[in-house]
Amino acid sequence: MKNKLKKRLKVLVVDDEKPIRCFLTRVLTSYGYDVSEAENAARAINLFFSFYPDVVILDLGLPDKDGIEVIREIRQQASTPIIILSIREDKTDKIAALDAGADDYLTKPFHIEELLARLRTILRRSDAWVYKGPLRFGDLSVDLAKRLVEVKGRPVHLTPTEYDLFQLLVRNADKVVTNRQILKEIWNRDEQFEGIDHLLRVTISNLRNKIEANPERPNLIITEPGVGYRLCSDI
Amino acid sequence: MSNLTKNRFRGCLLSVGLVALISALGEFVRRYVDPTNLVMLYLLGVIISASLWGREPSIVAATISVVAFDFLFVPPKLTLSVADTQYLLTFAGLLAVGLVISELTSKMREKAIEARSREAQTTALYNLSRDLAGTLSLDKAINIILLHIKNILSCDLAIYLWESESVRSWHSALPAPEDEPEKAAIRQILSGKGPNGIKTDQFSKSNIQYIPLTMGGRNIGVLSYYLPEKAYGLTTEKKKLLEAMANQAALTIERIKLLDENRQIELLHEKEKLQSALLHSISHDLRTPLVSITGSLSSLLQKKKRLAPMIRHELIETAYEESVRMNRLVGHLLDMARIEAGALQVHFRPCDLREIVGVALDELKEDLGSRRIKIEISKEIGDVPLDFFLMTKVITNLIDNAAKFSPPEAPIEITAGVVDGHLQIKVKDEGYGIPAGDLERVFNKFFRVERSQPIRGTGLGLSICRGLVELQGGRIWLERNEDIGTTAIIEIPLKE
Repeated sequence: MKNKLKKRLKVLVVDDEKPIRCFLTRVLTSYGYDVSEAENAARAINLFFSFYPDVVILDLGLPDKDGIEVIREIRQQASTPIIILSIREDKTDKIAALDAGADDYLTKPFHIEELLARLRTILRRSDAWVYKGPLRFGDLSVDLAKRLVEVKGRPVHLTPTEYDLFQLLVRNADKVVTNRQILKEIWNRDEQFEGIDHLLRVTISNLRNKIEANPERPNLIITEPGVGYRLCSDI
Repeated sequence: MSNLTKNRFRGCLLSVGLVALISALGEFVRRYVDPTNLVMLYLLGVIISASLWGREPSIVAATISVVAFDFLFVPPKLTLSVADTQYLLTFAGLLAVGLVISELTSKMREKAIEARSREAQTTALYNLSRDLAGTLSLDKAINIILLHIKNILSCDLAIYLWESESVRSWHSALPAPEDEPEKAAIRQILSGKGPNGIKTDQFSKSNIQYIPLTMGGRNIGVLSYYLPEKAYGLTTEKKKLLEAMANQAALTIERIKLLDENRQIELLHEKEKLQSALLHSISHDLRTPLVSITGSLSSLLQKKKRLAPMIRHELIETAYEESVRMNRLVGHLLDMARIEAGALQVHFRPCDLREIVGVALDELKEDLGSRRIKIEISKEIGDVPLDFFLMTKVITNLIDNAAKFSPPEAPIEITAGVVDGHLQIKVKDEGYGIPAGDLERVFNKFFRVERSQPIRGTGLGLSICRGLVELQGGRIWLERNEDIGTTAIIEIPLKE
């Protein structure tokens, strides 16, 4: 337990609003994180290379530069997880941030529980993803080694494409996987490819029909409108 | 040389020709009739000339007839001298009768021409006013005016009007850029200095003419027309007609401007009413949660009295819930503002309606709790072109309303199908219902159904829904269920 103090995870909070920075610092410190604050892009970049955070919480609307620029600058040198915390709810901003290399996106105002959960997920996965045996999501269990998916103990038959897509979501559990990423990984196509988005929707729909308890109200494979999909591990 | 003199000259030449023709005919019939009877033929020529070409040509015809008669038919022939003096009487008779006939006939002809041109004027004016009668837009009216006047003058023209300190122009053809003296002339007339103060002719550059459009002695605009080099000015009738048309134009322009002003005033009233509703919403609906929040938080801050842990918790919960409510109101106000500012872009993409409903339900899962939700989406609905984001907002709002205005245990039914080439989505509740008279009014901003137990809402949800559905080319309305509750219906045309 004493060891834990040494391993306090470092969070860099970038936001131009002082009240938000203060509140985030208080909460995160009390949850055991080591927090550093930056109020603009320049200071954020500076701090990033002196403080070496384990995760960055970034606001997109910064006074000196767009937050997306900050993502790009960080991504040129490091793969440190970045969570976007923005007032912008437009999906194009979300997609731009995720495609620039952000790991997750939360719209302000947010529930602190939500932020803490995303932080935990991201930090859990920040090392290269290692498969540590069968996973459970509610009634669903997945054994990636055996390519076996079971609902309530009964094996579910998935087509190879469905399985690949499901595995992609499982490996990125709790993280938004953008449509572009899915199309690239599963079909090796981009969004412009004729009919590809239809194929994606049908595959998702079939997958839901097979593994969701109530496919019409999915709580495992969550749609992020216009952005992509997220597998929710917390059910 | 003007058009008129040119016509007269032509008439005279034709008259000479006519007399020559009659003389040739006379040469042919002289064998059968007495020479004096040939006078009748010449008189016939004078009548023809007078009725076809007017006064001057017929006088010419009468005079030449006498000379030709003398020269050709009165002995000694081919000289102007007269052997028998009684022929002098015939000459005098021919000339006198010829002149009288020419005078009378040409008067008749002038009357007929005048009547015809008056009729044409009346028709032109009538056509103009008929076409202008129903016009409510200034641009349309001016285009009609330009077209009609262009038909009369057969030349290009332009209309200039004041439009808030600057001059706006409409042209019947591609406008040639006005040069400086022209601009000055137009401005001068527009500011009321012509044509009574100064002669408009002094502005005339080459062939441009200006006619002020006046209303009650005020110049409200200028009509300018450009006569091509070859033209010889306008006849008096055309000038009169043009003036009448200019009057008609001025009248119409003024009428439309007044109508516009009235409409602006009405709009302003509407806007003021909305603004006060908006102010009320902001001051009341936004402040009420703030009161709870500040109240709760300030009691928590008090140092003198330690509150019981349960009460502390309750206060914190209140503050949180109220801030969530406030956030929702701000979201609605923002959505409304975006719709009204036209700042929302619609991206039609093939969507899975099941997914839209799923996202909406996920968004509301805390409010819905364990409420029964029945979903029935027809299998024939495949991918439908919708804006996923906007449609999700609509469905979320409708389900939220259904939940808010019905008891917690009442089920909600979401159905969708294809009806007459339209995608039809229904959200049905078994709630408190809406009075028939309010079914349409609930779509007005900030309108709320009066209830004994008021239900808190932003008063914007349905008007946002309507805005978003209309952006996607569809309609939305509410119907009372036969037994209990309300059904919201969305219809969106399915384009192939």
